[in-house]
Amino acid sequence: MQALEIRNVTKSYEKFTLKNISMCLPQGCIMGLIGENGAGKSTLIKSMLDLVHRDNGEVLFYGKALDSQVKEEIGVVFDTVHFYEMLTPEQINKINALTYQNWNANLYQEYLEKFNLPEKKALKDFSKGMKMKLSIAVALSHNAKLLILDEPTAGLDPIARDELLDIFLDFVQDEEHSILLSSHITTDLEKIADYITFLHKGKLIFTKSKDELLYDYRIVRCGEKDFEKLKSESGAIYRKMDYQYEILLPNGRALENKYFNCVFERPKIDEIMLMQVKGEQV
Amino acid sequence: MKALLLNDFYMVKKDYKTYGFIIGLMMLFFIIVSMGMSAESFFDFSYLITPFIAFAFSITSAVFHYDEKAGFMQYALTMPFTKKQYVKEKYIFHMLNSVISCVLAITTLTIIGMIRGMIFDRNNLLNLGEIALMILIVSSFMGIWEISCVMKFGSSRAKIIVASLTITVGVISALIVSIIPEIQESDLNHMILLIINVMLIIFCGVTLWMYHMGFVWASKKEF
Amino acid sequence: MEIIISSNTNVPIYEQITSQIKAMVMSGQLQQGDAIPSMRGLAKSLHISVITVQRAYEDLQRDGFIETTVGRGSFISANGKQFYQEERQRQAEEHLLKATEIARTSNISLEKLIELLTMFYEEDE
Repeated sequence: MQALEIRNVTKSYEKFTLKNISMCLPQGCIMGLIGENGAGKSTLIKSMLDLVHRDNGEVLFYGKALDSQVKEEIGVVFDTVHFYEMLTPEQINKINALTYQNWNANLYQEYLEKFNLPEKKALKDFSKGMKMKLSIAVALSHNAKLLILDEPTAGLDPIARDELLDIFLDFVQDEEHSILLSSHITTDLEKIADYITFLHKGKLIFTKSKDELLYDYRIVRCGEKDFEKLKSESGAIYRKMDYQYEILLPNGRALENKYFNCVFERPKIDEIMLMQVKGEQV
Repeated sequence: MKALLLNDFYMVKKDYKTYGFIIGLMMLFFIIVSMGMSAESFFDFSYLITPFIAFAFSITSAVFHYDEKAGFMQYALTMPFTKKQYVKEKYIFHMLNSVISCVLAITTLTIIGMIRGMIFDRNNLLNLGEIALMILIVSSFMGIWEISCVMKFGSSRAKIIVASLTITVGVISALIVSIIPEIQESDLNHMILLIINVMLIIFCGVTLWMYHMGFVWASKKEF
Repeated sequence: MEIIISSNTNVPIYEQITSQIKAMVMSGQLQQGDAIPSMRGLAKSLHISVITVQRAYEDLQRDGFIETTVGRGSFISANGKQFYQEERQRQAEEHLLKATEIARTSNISLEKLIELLTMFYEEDE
């Protein structure tokens, strides 16, 4: 059973359509959701959570459709905290204790201490990073199995981000726990993601294992002659630059030793995104 | 739902203090002013109910304003709440505030009555009861209109709609009440009374429909 | 046990883990029956993703170096060293075969070959 299963989800707006998205998140894994601004990441997350009405498709959480019981097991973090700004973490504790069956007040306190969040101070006095940490503390304190995070690390300094990544890795120590994490900060995903899903203009371009993207793919820079040979490789995407061709090859690792006049480099995730968006296919 | 009530309560804690202070002052003002007035029954003071009804409405209006500012509804729906529960809780919260304003109003009237040496016989108590009922009904109506309009139009526009509606209805009611003696003497009195009753029923019907539509509009809401 | 990984090389992290553990087995640092960290625990300690470690452990299991039992964890198995030895010998044989073919077709004598082999073997000692 998958932690999250999305089948044929479509959502149309006037100027944008999220089209036929299907993907799975296995249990015990971390999936990064990437795409440029406006690609549909937030729309997808909202469609999953019934915050917008899907035109089509279904979403299953551990095999079940979304209902109040399922919501007990999901922790959601948006890019801003959605509690009224005059509330304090202490008040939020009490509200959540009445909300969730499995609210763990002790664990919440521990997170408050760990993140250095003052219990009795109003949210409006919190920095952006502190607000985010509070959201995450809440999401982690009610025994959730699935965390869904929409740009959680944007606006955090590198040290705070590293702490959060550690917390996410800790979260998936339990094999039933999974995380779906949408982010622009692809370096974070390079560290901890198991899978990467790439959305572009409302379509799902790929879902692949991170290791495959980082270690099997290659970005090749070469001249016209080699380009002519390489361009028909499966999945090749190329850009013609001023003095060279750039090609993204999904099976680049296997071809590395056969082409001597080309530069083969392991791509970073954002380079793959760039090629997907700006490149052409044969 | 208790969680939502607690959340709303925390949000307007400060407003309770502010509005509560204002209401307290008004209560004092009414009591003092009443001492110089000549009046027979509690009904002569029924204009008093206006600020108390406004109190309940203001609190509910504030709650929606803060909710919208924080974007709380969106987040609440990721918690184990349904849209239906969210809207229902708002109605309950408004009712609680209506009851509070009712109690405050009746308290004020009771104090006025005691100062004037009124006897709390069956008639007067009945009057108090009727005034209390009137407060609850008018406040509920305002609440229904406010909550359903917020779901459709958002909190700032809803406030304007409900305020305008209340003033309009209030003016019309006052007009009707003032010409009742003339109607009773006219030939068409039966028909006019019938028309007035029908309008009243229609208005109640529409309000009931708005209550239902509050849930419908909430279910269609997208974020 | 120490595992040192780099994200800057072309060698995938799962391969780095696999080679280091194999090397520790070959050198005797890890003995048969020794426990190695759980997949998830190692992923957390190294700050890497779980399926990377999973891949490494699967490869190690396939090559006979470790055995993983649900509920008990992963342990160094008896055969690893031997399998590895056999595999490496196979690799050496392949290279020697190639060298032999080159020698035969280029008129290099057997004695010369043996001389070269001995020189190479003893060179770094």
